[in-house]
Amino acid sequence: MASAGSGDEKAAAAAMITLISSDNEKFEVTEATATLSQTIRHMIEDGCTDGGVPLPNVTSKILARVIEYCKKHATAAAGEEGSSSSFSDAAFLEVDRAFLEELEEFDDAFLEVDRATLFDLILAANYLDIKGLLNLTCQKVADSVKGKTPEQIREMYNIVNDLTPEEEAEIRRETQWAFE
Amino acid sequence: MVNDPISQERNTDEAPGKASYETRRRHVHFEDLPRDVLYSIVSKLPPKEFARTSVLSSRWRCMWSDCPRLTFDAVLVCNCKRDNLHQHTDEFIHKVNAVLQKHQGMVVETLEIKIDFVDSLIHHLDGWINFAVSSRTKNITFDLKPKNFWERNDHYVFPFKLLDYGSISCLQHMQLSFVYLRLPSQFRGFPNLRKLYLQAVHASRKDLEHVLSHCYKLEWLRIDRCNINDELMVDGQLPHLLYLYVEYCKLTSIKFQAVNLATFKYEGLSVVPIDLSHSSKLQNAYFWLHNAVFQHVLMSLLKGLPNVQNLTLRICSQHLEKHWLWDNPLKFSHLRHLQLFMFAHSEHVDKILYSVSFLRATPFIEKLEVHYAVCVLWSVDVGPRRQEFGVCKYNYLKNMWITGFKGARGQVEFLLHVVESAPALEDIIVDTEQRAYEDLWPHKDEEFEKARRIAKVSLSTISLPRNAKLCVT
Repeated sequence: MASAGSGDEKAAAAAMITLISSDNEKFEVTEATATLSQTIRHMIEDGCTDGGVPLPNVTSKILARVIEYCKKHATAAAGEEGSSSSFSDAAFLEVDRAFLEELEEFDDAFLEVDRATLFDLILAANYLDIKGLLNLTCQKVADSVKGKTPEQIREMYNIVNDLTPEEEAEIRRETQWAFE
Repeated sequence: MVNDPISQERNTDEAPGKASYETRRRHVHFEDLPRDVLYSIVSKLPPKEFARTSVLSSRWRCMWSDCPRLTFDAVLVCNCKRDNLHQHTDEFIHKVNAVLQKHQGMVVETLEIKIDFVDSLIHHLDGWINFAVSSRTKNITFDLKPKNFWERNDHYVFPFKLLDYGSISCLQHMQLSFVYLRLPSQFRGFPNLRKLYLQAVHASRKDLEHVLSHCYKLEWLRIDRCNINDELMVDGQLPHLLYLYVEYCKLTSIKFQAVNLATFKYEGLSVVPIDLSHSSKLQNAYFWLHNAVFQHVLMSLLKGLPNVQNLTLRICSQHLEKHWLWDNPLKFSHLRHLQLFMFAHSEHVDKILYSVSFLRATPFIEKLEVHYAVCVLWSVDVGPRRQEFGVCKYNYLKNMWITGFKGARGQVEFLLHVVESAPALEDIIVDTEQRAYEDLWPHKDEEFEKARRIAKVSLSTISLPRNAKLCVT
């Protein structure tokens, strides 16, 4: 993958990292993009990224998507450090609203994938330890089961009900407040 | 077992080649996900929906029953309106106790309670703290803030006596809202606490300082509406503290020793003396003030946050004094990016240019944003000229962005001063649209056109920096 031509070429070249997917495809990304992954960040800190970073758990198809996400979010990442999910920075600066909206639109479009891909993205985000992506994809799955009956959820995600009717009745008794 | 991915692999081996792969791919199994990922998915569900997943299968039943996260928000648990919450207190107690009983003796990582505090809860809240102690809980949220919490003074007294050193050591995250912290003698702090959010907490200055000084591992701290009516001088070293947010606390001054602090946010009625001079790596500081004199704020920040790199200052009701701070020797020696939101009163229109005194303290500034929000600025021709301020150079300034430019003299002189004094300027953006917040006053297109014309004409009277690109919109 050719690096983008904008900016200081030399400085950019110095901070490039090569990621190698499970099917041996190479992706060249900037350090800023790569370090959205805590896993890769630690590798860089330990100085073991020479000759590329092999990612045996991630296919090229998924890695390409993950990189797409990281590129978009790398610029937004600055300043988020230290803050956490219970604290919303969204209304932070009105002038940045347009940018945040764009980012949200990007995220929405990014999540327009089939369930298999969504699960692969979750696994990749988990393995690479990319908090934002993991959060985003898990939220998507959680949203998909919201308001569904247990039967519908089983159907959607091929969950085999191995409970006996007696067991199920007992659980329903225990969690009666949740079914009211 | 169906859940075993290896046996799935074997089962599908019988079907030929690609088709089998496709078939398998279509069957997305929740069970393929690692357990902690499953937890992060279900923890995004409202508590009721999460509880309901327990009937899906035996694995989900386990997930629910040894779930490390128990969240009880009274409004959701009782399915009622916040206003009627007081009628549902008993119901809430009953439901929480029923669930906790099922988890007795198990590890519960997170326990969250959210309900409007009433006296009848005290006994049960103590019980729930007991539960957290026996369940080795790492994350506790006790959000007991009632609707009109600022009018009430009957905070829940945090039962320190129920906690032994072992359970205190377990705690990593804690949110306490509407709680009275009265420390026992010889309290040794929360040794492993990484995140602490105190909201509407009642405590003496001494106790609060003591708690905060003894959270050595603290990384994230938010103090919201805790009225100490005194100073807050935290003398203990907090070398891991990265994020500090102080919001509407009645404090007379603030001091922290956090060498690695990266972000500081302050929201309040006005600025108080703040000492973060130990925080040499401070990247971002944000100030929202309701009512303050611009020059006083500047001096306060220079003394308290000399190392800040990016600074945002927003004063809702801003007063400007008629002086240029020529005698100020202090500088922000690391400030690269300054973002000013100028909400000037109409009677201060003639003083806008005095805000330029901030720039004298920012010799290394690279990016300057000034977002004006004043309703009656349209081409007002009053106030001093930039020559009065004198010469000042911003050799590193590359970007300047002004929004809400309405062609007032103060704005024009500010713009010209910066452009004349920044030889390395690359981008000059002058935007007549008000972006700091929505412009509530109706305005006409010709006014915008006039403001743009004023910007262009006045900039044409001076020579622009060699590499500067000008954009007036």
